[in-house]
Amino acid sequence: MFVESATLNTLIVALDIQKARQTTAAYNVANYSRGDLATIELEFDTLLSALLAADNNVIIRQALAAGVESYASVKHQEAGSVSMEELIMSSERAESRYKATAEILDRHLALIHLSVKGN
Amino acid sequence: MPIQDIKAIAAFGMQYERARVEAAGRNIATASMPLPVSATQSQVYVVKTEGLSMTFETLLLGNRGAPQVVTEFADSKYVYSPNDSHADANGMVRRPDIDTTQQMLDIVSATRAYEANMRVYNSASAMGQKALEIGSGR
Repeated sequence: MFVESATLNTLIVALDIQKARQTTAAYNVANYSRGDLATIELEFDTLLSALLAADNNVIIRQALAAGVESYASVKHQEAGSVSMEELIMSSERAESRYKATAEILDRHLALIHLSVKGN
Repeated sequence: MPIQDIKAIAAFGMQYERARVEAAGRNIATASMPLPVSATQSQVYVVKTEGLSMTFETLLLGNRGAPQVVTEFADSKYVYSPNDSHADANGMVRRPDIDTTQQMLDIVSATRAYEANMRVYNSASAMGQKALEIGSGR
């Protein structure tokens, strides 16, 4: 069950990351006419390894999740370096990854549910 | 960072693009309107919003001013149009200095941007729907 908790935490952070990506994409699409775009700088591997090392420590997980949000809000870039099509594609990528991660989380929960029932 | 925030940002983007279309439409409608010969300036419609002058961080906090179409003063042009009923003795008429081609391009780009915001809104809705489905099979 300890391992399952860590996996669940990882999946939830992965969902947070896709949500942060989608928020950045929404901001960029809404501000495209103005020309001030934000970029998201995610060090997913670093987050993931820290998360796995932290096992199921809720406080550390929350700190990492908060870190994901701050990553999404720092950097601005000049317009013109990216097209509207690319912004839409990044939004759709975030959506499909979010759905895929949610699907994995759902299956994982089903497995935990089965194992609890089995016990 | 709730999904509602993503949808609110996309909705703000749609409001802004709709206001751009409205402003461009009004500018085209008044482009050929004659002005008094002495008027060196005319009114043009522009979109003003607090939201666009805000940073990513403040926009996320929900402080988005609703976009509004307001008038601003701009230069007028003095053109030769002797058949115009408002022409002066030299056949010259004063009109707002509005480039209708540019206004048409603005409408096209605003329409495309509106559609893009709508796609983002729909993506966020799909994400929210998927999040609600987690664990619903049991």
